[in-house]
Amino acid sequence: MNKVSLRNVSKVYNVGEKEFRALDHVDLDIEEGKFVVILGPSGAGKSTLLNLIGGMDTPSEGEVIVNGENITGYSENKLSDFRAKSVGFIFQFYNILPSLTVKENVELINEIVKDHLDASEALQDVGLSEHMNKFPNQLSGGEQQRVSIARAIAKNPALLLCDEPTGALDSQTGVMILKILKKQTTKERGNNTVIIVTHNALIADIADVVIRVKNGKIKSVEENANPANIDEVQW
Amino acid sequence: MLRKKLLRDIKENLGQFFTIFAMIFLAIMAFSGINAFSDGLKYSSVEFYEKNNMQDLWLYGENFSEEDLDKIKALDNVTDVERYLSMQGSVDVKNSENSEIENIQAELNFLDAEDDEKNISTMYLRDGEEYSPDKDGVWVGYYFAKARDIQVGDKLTFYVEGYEFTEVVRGIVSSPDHVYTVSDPTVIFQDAADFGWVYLSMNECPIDFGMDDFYIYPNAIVDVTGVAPNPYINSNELDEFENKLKSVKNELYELDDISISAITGRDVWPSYEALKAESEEGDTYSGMFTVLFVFIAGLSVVTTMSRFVKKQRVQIGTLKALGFRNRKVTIHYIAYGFWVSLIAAILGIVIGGPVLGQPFLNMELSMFDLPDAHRCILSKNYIVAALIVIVITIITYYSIKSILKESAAQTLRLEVPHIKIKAKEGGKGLSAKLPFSVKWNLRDILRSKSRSIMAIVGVMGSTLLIVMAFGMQDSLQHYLVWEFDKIQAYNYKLNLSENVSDERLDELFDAYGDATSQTVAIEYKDSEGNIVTSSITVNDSDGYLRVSDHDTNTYDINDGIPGSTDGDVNEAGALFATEKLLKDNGFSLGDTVKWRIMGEDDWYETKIVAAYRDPQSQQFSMTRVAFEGLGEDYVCDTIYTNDDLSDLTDSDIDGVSTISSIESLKEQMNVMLEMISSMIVLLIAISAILGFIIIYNMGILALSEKMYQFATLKVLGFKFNKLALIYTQQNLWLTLVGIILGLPLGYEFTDCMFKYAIGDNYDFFANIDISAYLIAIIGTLLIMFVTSIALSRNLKKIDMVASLKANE
Repeated sequence: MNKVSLRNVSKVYNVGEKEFRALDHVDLDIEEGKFVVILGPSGAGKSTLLNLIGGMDTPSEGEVIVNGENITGYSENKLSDFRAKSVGFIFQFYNILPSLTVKENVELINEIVKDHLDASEALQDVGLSEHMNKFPNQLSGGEQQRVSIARAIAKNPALLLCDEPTGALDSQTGVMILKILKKQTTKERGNNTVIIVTHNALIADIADVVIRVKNGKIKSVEENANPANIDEVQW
Repeated sequence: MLRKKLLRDIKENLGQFFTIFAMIFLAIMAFSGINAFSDGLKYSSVEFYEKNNMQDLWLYGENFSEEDLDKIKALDNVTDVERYLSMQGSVDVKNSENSEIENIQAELNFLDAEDDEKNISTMYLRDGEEYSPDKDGVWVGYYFAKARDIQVGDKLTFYVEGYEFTEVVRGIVSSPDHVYTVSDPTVIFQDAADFGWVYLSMNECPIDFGMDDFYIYPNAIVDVTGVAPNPYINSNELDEFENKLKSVKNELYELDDISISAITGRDVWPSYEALKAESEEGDTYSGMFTVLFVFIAGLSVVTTMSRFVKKQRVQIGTLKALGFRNRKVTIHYIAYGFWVSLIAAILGIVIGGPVLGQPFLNMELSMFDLPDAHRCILSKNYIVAALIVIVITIITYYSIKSILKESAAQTLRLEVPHIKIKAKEGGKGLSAKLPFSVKWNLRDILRSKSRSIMAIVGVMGSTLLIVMAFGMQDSLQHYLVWEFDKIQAYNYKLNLSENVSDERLDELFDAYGDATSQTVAIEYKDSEGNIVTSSITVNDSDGYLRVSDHDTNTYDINDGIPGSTDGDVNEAGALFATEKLLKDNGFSLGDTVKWRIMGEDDWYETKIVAAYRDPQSQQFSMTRVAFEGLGEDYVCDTIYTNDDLSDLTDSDIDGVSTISSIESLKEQMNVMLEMISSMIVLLIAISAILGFIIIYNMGILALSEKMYQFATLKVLGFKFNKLALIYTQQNLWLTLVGIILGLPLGYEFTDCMFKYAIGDNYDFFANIDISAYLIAIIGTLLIMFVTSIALSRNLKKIDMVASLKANE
């Protein structure tokens, strides 16, 4: 079953008097429970693709279907509901709120989602039980990224979207983060779909599916029959 | 090249720079505008007094003969002396509306017929011919002539001491000792149409003094050698001149064979004193408003420049990476604040005078007959403007200082939000139980202390100004009730003519009652032994003229003042003194004061038995029993009544010089108060707008600082309404704190304004109705909600991708 489908999707930005086509008539299907890596150089359209799937942006043309919902024509409020219920985001620079503690950052979700995980449980899942009452500035980069993951998974989303989640981390910490993300795709965790946008081609080795993007077009979609063990990945 | 960048940046961020410009421009325009009129009044009056040689001393006696004048003139330090007879009378004039003849009260000054030339307080000729003692006719005060359409050549009929005579108007004049004239000391603001003054030669005096060619001159004026120094310039000259005046006074008192009952200087002359007090009021206003304006402008500069520099961060980094030295970059960025404030300051000074100063000056000149009055821009305006430009430049420097300290590489990276929370665990105890929005907002306020403090101060300023604007109106209304309903508890006051016979007095008592008072001019010694001129109101008014306690409750003088009475009010010489007089002279209740009636040699030493409060006249009072207990004769000069005398004019009752109605006094007062308050309210309105701008600016700053956090929340799925609520919640808290601080400060500022801006003779205080506070609370909250709603619309437009990427 397809978790995500894009049909003839384009995204056009107007830069001054010129048009910039960030995505150009893209068709794409991503199955449920897959660990997907989107690769491509800067400006290729990777993040735009992620933002459209996550309902953070709307396409200039085409249709975006997630969980069987066509979110293309959603209003601002409907998109907010969609993001709240269906999608977890993880960013390169974590985007956690500095004035809330680790636990409170995760508990934020309680404000918008009824069917959420317990914050302590989510934090335990990412190995941060001992740091629950700390403020973000008291944590390392890897720990902050784990808070961001805990916040994302606390929503119990079927889709986790990660924009360069290891981009600001060292190799060892990056591996730890990838393990946590990969774990979300297991049956035990609900067969969630994880989509990671990255520059780092090495991460592609552990993916179930690798999508390569260039100049706003999908260059290739490769299934990886034998994904590598995460512990073997180094950069 | 950087200059081009500067101009284009300013053009691109026109709104922000215009705010800075507007603040500074308004601050300096208000300062120089108010000073232009208040300094203009001061200097124009000094010039007029000097040019027309205003008298330095006034002498009161029985009759100054030519020999007396020679003796006085022979004194050291006396240049000249002139004698005259000043009398209260009336004149028939046409009513401008229905052309009917109306009898109006007038002051008739008969000048020495023997004197060849008038050299002291010379007349400033507005129209007609120059005055000369050998000419017949009358010289009429300019404002009275204007108000009553009196022209040169008109014939006027005068009444004085029962005599009637007609004179041709020879000239229309102004005079340095009649810049401001009132018919009666209780009249605060005189309509020029209701009271006139004239000069004429003693040859025209119709009064029979009992002998052929014999005149009585009880008044004289003295010109002391040298020019009276400008009192607004602090100099030794002023002290020297004061000493000279003192020695002349002493010598005059010691002159044999000349009976002088009192000598007074300019400081107690009503015309001089009123103009001086009015022009000095501007100092308080200009200082207070400038501080407020500059403060608000400063806050605005901090917020605007911080935002601007944040936007320019990468450009600053680029300049540094290109090799521009820190100094050059600093100068470039300082130039934004410097040039904008400099241009605003120059325009403020240039425009302040004509736009703000001139209308205020014109308003004042409707009260003061001051020829050739002009605005005045003193060097202090340029100094203050320069200081403001320097302050703004320094604030600009501090806004960019932190970025300049960073390396080029650091600056080129986009700013990562600073987190200043102390390394201490949170989320426990009470804070753990608070809702998310409360926790988040509380911590955000603590994290952004300076922004929060500035927002609170901005709101506080705005609240304070609204309280002041309405509070001043309330306080003035309260004063009217206090003075004209509670203290002067009568409908009409009859001022008696001099020398009314006992029979006539009895008739008047029969007709209008015997509630009376007598005003006795006195001299007393203050706690340092200086002789001060004042008066005692001997009150036998049966409770029509009441004395007030500190809290404005009023009592019949015979009952004393509960809580402020120490002794028997009817004991011989028992004095009531106003609270302000006690304070200003270092006296206390129970002290003994040495005083004497003007013109008498014997000094009394009597006790202050009660302290009362009077809003408009600081002096003494006494019961009739206490006065007569000293062996003095009580000769009433005023009758108080509640009879309806609305159909009577001044000349209708024999033995009465003027009839004053409380309603007309209230009306006069209202006219003056409206003038004052319109001036103040205008300035406060400008300030309140500035307060609004600062709240708006703070809101924008708060929003831009937290944009990435709001973007994060939006990505997580928070809806607009929830975000707007979180944003508004913080603004609401800061606004409430600002309001709580602003309300009492508003009271204090209003109180200070009354205490220090109004003349020494007044004892006003703020009395603000609850409605003023409610308006301030609702007004400020409204401003907050309007700005919050307007600004929270930006939350709808947050580009999540751009905001989060920018943060990266």
